Amino acid sequence: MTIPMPEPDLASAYFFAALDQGRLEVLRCGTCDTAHLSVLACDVCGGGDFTGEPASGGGVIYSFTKLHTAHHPAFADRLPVCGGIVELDEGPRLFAPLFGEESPAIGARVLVELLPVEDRMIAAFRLVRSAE
Amino acid sequence: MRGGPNASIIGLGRAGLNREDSRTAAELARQAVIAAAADAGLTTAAIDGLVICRTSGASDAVLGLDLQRALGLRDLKLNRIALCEGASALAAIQTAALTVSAGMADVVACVFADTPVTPGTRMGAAFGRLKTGVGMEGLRYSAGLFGGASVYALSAQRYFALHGLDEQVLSDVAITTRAWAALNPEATFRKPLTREDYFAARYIAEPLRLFDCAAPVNGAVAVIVSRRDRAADGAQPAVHILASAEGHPGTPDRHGFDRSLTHGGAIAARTLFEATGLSPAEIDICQFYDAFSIMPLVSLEAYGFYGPGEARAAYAEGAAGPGGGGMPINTGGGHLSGYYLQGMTPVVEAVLQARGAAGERQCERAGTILVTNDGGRLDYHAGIILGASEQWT
Repeated sequence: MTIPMPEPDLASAYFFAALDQGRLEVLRCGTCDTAHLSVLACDVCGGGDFTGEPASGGGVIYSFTKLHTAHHPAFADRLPVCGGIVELDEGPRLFAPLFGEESPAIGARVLVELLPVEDRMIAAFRLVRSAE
Repeated sequence: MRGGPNASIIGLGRAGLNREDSRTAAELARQAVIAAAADAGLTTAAIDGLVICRTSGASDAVLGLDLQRALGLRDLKLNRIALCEGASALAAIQTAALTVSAGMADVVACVFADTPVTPGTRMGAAFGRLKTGVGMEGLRYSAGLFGGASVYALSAQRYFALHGLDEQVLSDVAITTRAWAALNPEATFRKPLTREDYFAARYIAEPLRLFDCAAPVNGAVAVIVSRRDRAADGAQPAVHILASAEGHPGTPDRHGFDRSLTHGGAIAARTLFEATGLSPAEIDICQFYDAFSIMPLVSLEAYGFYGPGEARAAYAEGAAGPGGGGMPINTGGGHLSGYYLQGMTPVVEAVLQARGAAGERQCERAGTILVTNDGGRLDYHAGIILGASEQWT
């Protein structure tokens, strides 16, 4: 059983369309330069013009958890499941599966890996060894 | 002092509140309203307004406006569903309070019912039903984050990281709250919780363990709201709604913000304290929405009782517990050890304390009680300050 994927809504249509074609993109506000992932009106300046640009794919863990109860059959045989919220280097955050050899920690560096889920793609993030 | 609504809670009714009840949510709701009217010394025919609390987390979507017909209520002046996720109960009470204040109805019943537990089955998945979701928020399910515990685990993890704390602070909350539940015959878990029991329990979503999570039950709660001047000759001591407020932060999911820890209590507190002229130090008891043990800590800080990362002091050495010497918190056992009927759980306990009807767990000072509700992942918040009738006439 494959993991559940959200249906795009109006604000996230661009993000998911790009992702499904293998690109992690942010939407940059043409007025104030704030980067968003899913947006209709910029919450900083009220602007409504956005331009898509590729995200670097790097980020840090904003928060994370290891789930010990499976509520969906796709996760039943991979407990504990590690998931959380990643802050992209461009600023916006998103929920994402987390994986890798390193232990997750708030502030730890991660790098995106786009994984196919049937005819869609998901942005998962691999923990990378810290530079120090 | 601006003053709050001219409204009081004059009746309280419960139905179910256990894991064996197999009645539908609609029937439990009907029974709770009948019980609340009787408690107020009224027949249901006196009710001229009905507000049903709805949340998308509730398991039975059947509870609706037709509760009016099930109760045989004629000529209602208000019939409304209040939807504010976990904050729906206080949102409903606010609607009722404003309506009676404005003279647009006289006797308004607010009711919540839910039946997440299938009698005889395992509890684990009571609130973890299959979901796919929509938009960016729906990605939580792709990440495996089902159920409220998973997202409040993110709050707890972040709270620890920011303030250099660990699971010990959550164990203090769980153990102290259980000590209150031991004194409440309606509570689900009444056996004292030791530090060993707490840490031996399985993880649900790290760092949250079993006893960091609410105790689901099947049941319903209803309250009757009326104008203050009418409340004076009720069957029960009136519990006045001194102030009511909401606070919904809308925190961006972006660098520089902290959505998992930004609590709407900071917004509601300004309105509540301005309306009553009270300060946090003048609150006798807090009844917080504690579906997860991290929530009272975040609530105490949002309401200005403590600075960021310092709320653990409220629970140190069981201060918030029975005979602990500090401000009593969640004196019925809360959601954690009492029962999870969303926003109504803290309301029930506040009304009982304000009436002086809380039995063995009755607090000496119960003149001003802060009650809070939280919904979403700290997206929606409502708070009220209740006053015992003899002190606030």
